[in-house]
Amino acid sequence: MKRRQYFFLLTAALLILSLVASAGAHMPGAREVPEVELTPILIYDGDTLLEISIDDLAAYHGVRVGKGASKCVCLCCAFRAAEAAITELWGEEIPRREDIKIVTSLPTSGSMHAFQYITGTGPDMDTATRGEFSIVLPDGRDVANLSNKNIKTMSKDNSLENFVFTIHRRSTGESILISMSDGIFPDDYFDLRKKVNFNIPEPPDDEELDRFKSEWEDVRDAFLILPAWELFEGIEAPFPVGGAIFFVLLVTGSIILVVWMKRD
Amino acid sequence: MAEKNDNNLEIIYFAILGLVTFGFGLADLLVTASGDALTLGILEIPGDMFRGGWGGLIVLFAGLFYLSGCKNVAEVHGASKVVTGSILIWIMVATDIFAMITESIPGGEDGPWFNSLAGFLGTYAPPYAPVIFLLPFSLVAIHYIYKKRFA
Repeated sequence: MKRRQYFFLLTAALLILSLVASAGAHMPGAREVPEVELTPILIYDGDTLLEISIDDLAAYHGVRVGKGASKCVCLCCAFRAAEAAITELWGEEIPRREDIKIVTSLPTSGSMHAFQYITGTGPDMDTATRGEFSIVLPDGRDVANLSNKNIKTMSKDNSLENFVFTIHRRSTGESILISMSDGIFPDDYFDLRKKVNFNIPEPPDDEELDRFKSEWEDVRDAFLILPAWELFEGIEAPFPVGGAIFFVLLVTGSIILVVWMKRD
Repeated sequence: MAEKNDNNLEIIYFAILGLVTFGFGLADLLVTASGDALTLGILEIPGDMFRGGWGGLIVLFAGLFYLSGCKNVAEVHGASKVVTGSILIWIMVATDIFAMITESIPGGEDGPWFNSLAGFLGTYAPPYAPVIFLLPFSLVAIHYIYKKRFA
């Protein structure tokens, strides 16, 4: 009886430890997520104004995959892409949830749960209204089975081509297509991902494991830190008013200095 | 009497400027020691060894020159210390602005030869290093250069 109790306690402790360890991210041993304040996504769900933060998405994703809250690369990318697209399409207006339609080419659980949460189309969501969400692969195939298991299988061959999102404003028919800027993902990122996550074409060696972990952390941090127009094609950078003022002051100051020196 | 009041104003002005400059220099050094740059709104305190470490030391000494010269700024010795403090600031500002200019013209590593207008102006956008904010206040020292030149 005692041995069984010890065994039960040990198993429970291991389970709790594994949950704690995976709370930060699904990449084991990944460094801490940088502390940044990202603008939440504001949407109306019926008459209720929702402030959707990246933490809300991470919590929902954690519940859906059963591993605790996690800010993985795809979830961070999905949040930033949705936030940027909503700002471009709605401007100062706050969209209604049912007015948002998101079509993604990226079959990963992180991005799927993020977009499902934003559109209110995810399982077990307490929502009054629903937008639309679907996954259409780059070759045109529609992914109907959105179970975690199937999405993981579909994600095996993910590449930069999959990081394409189309966000629609259903009421006006406007849409915006967002793809990745060059240089966000290292060249060997997707090959390493395939090796590390799926052992294809062969299991990774220690050096490859370390390299992928480091690249994964850098890409995740880039999605949290960089401005949207540096991350995504299709997002216009705002006109640098501060830079223009400083440049004008600089030129004016230089002219005054030259004139003044010539005067003497 | 009026001259004495002017002197008091000058002393207060350069004492405050000296303290602020010294503070910025100290902040540069502390931030560099911590390893990361620190951004507070439109102010960015650099954290690299060259600009934050050596640059911080120069700004710190500029502050010391101001503080040392402010007491007898009406005399040539005090005025020369104040001018030296300002020259140190101008050296730092000139290198910062030169870096901005050279960075603003090309289109980046994988980009075109020349930057876009938004990219060009974006290089001059905030945040700025502390010395940029000190520049307009340091220009008062020009008054002393001319005052002594034509005395």
